[in-house]
Amino acid sequence: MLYYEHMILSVNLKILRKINDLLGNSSSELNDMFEEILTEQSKYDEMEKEEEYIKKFYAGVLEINSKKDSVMNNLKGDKLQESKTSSQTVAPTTDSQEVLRIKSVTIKNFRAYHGDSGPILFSRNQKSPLTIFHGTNGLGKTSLFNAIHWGIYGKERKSKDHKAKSEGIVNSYIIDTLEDGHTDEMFVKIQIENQHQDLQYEIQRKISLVKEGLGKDLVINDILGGKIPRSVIPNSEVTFSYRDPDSDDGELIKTSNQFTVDALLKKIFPRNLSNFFLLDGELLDDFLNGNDVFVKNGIEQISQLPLLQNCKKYVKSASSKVGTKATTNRTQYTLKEESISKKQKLKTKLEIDIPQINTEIKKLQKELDYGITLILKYDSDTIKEKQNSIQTGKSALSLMEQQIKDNKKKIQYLVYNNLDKILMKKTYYSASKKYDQYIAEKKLPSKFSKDILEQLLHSHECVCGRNLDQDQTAINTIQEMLNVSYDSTLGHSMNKIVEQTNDVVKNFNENENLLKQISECNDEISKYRTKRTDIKNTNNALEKELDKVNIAELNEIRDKNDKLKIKIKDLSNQNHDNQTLLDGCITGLVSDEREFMILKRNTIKDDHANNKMDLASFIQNILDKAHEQLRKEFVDEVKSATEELFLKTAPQKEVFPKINCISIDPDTFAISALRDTDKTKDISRGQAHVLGISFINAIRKITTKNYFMIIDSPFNNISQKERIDICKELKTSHKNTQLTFLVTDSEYEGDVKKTNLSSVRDTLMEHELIGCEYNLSQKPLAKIKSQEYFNTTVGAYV
Amino acid sequence: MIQLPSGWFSTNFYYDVEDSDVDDFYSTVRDKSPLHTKSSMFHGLRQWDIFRYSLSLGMYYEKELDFKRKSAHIPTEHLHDQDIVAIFSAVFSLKDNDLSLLHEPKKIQTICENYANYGVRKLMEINSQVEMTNPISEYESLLNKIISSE
Repeated sequence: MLYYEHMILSVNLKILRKINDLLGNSSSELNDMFEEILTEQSKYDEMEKEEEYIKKFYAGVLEINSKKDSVMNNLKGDKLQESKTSSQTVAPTTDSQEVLRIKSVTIKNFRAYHGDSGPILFSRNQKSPLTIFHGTNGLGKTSLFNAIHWGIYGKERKSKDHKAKSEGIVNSYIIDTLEDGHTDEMFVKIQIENQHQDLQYEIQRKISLVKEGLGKDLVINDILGGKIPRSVIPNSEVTFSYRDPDSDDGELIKTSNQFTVDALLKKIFPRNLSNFFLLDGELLDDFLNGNDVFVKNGIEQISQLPLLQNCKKYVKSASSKVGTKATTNRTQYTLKEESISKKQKLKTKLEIDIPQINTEIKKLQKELDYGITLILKYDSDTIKEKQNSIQTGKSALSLMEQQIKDNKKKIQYLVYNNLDKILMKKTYYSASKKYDQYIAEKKLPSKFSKDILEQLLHSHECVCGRNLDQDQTAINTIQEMLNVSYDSTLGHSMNKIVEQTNDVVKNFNENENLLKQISECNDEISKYRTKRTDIKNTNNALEKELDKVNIAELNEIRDKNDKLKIKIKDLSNQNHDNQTLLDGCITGLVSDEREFMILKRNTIKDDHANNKMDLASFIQNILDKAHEQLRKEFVDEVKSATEELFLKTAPQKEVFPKINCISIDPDTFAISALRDTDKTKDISRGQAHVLGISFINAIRKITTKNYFMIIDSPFNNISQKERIDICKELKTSHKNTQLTFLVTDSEYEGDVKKTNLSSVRDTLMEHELIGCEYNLSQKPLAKIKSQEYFNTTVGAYV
Repeated sequence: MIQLPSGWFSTNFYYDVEDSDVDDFYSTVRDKSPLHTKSSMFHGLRQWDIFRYSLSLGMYYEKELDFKRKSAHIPTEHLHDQDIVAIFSAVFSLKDNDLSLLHEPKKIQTICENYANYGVRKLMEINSQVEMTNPISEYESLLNKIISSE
């Protein structure tokens, strides 16, 4: 695994520590909650696909909600307001900083440097950490500085427009003398080690050149940063080797992929931070006026404070996206919930009221029915009707009685007309028998009465005219007949008596029928009696009812009935309204509940969004606090460290107050020193130079890595005295830091006589600060067609 | 209509006035008589109806009862056919009587009066037993009894 470190890492840790301080012990809970929200978020993404996910998501959100309040209350307590400002957050001291220093730099064909310089060793002596390259102006100090800068960043530090010149970063003699089909190269190799002389990094950036053809027209080449013949084709490559942090064998891991190398170097040597280890003394003013973007960006990158602001912006942006919708849904949800609650309450009330009113109506209706029954029973028509019924009953009763009477009469008739005959049945039979005998014997009185027979004998002539005197037989017969004849009336009556007697006897055969008729009559009587009893009972009941009729009471009942009708109507109307209301309520509830379910679902989503918003808001607070406090701490620390060195090395340092003489603009990081008196007067150039050096030094102190520092023209524009003062403080101001100065001879060795002060070199020597010293010199290389070429050589290691 | 020769029967038939109950029973003026008792089967009927029923009962029980004081009477002018048929049947049913009896109307009358004299007592007995609400109850029972026993 690739492991790399850079100077800002410590500051990141510091930010994390600060945030941890602000969060207190709740950081793990907050972290857990973040984790849960992220987990739920992943479910949320899936929820539209499967029902089960939705349930899980809801459950998850509810779970988070249940935890949220306690966690947020805990987090929002005093801890946030009373963040610690303990010294633990202050950067490590230089003693504890891990040192990174250049072991050697090898240059080949870079600008003024022709040929392979071989490894130029840098001082790695902790007591004498200074490496000096000195020479007169134009001999290659800046080229050396740029070579190192190019080696690390792939471009030179100084922003001179080389494109306008024919000369690029490759030595011009090499290009001009390269023959067709031949190749050559330019490279810079830098070896970096730690304080234990363990090689950490090796950077080799190389440009290979090949000449194809004889084209001499010049074209601007971006790789070389200058004009070169079209026929010369450059090809750049870079190799980066680094120590595997997981291995102790010292072997370096090597990579040649351009992008990988650039990415790694960007991490270890951020471009914005180049000023803090590759410093151009001529540009120190940039630190004072705060105009240099690189300076400001560098400081911000070291402090990493923009990280917090960016993070806040991101969180704010993300939370604002979910915010609006969440509020809308919540409002609708609450309104709908209230609406449903109201409707449910109304529904419950109506569901209780309606049956109660119905019961009341039934009760009243029952009373009314009773009242109506009474009225119907006793009103005039009813009375009349009852009276008619009674009358009808009476008529029927009379009819029944008549029927009974008739039947009784019939029985009486049957009994009366037959009983005497039946009692004399034997008598009639005997008489009839005798009559039959008399008839047979012709003894019954004949139709010829005694008077007629006597008249016949007397006249001697029959009715037919025959003379009876001559017929003795006839006369005898008439005599015999006279003996048995009776009065003519009696004879006539006897015939009728016999006849009627025989009729009586004959009727005896009908006796069975007689009993039947009597029985039927009795049945009829019985039936009519029953009917009569019923009619009597009905009539009695009706008569009794009629007896009870009380007009006053009836009027009272009528009044009561009228009131009951009105009350029942009112209640019925009320219940009808209630029912309509209930129907509407139920319909509304169905609709509301459908909408509510959708809103509920959205609201739960919103709750989730609110969770995120709450956390985002909380995080923004944390980030604000962290940013505010860290920035203050950073500025305070830098200010303190700057002040310390500045007051030791600044020219005329006595004009500055011992405390708070330094001011740092919190926005631009522009630094300024304020005199004790006459605060409006600008500080001198020398003071400004020292202030810049002190500032950079202070900023470097807050990093965990003590990077090497190469300063081109460190003594530019400052007096000899100030140079001496700076040199004297180097041991303390840049403790453990590998320093490399690229200085002019005059700055390094000159101006001694005028000032009566020792030279820089002498001062450095006196303080045993110089570990390596190189004298840069230039020798003619060749002259081609009046073009003279020179070569800068690095003097022997001293 | 049966028209007996005028004067053939004496003017009246007689009943036993010695017995006041019988006398009351036949009376056309006294309230005790069933002829005046609304609840009686004989209410509004004739004395001859009582006599005929009395004769029937006497013949039914085949018993006669002589009586001496014959002051009270039943006018023969009120005789109906059924009364005459009953009287003739009663006398001719008797074993010892024949057509010669037609020459002795008084005898016929006496025979019937005696049987009726017995019968009227049975009739009075029955009449006393009838229900107030049903004046023919006993007669009806008797009728049922006689017919059912045949």
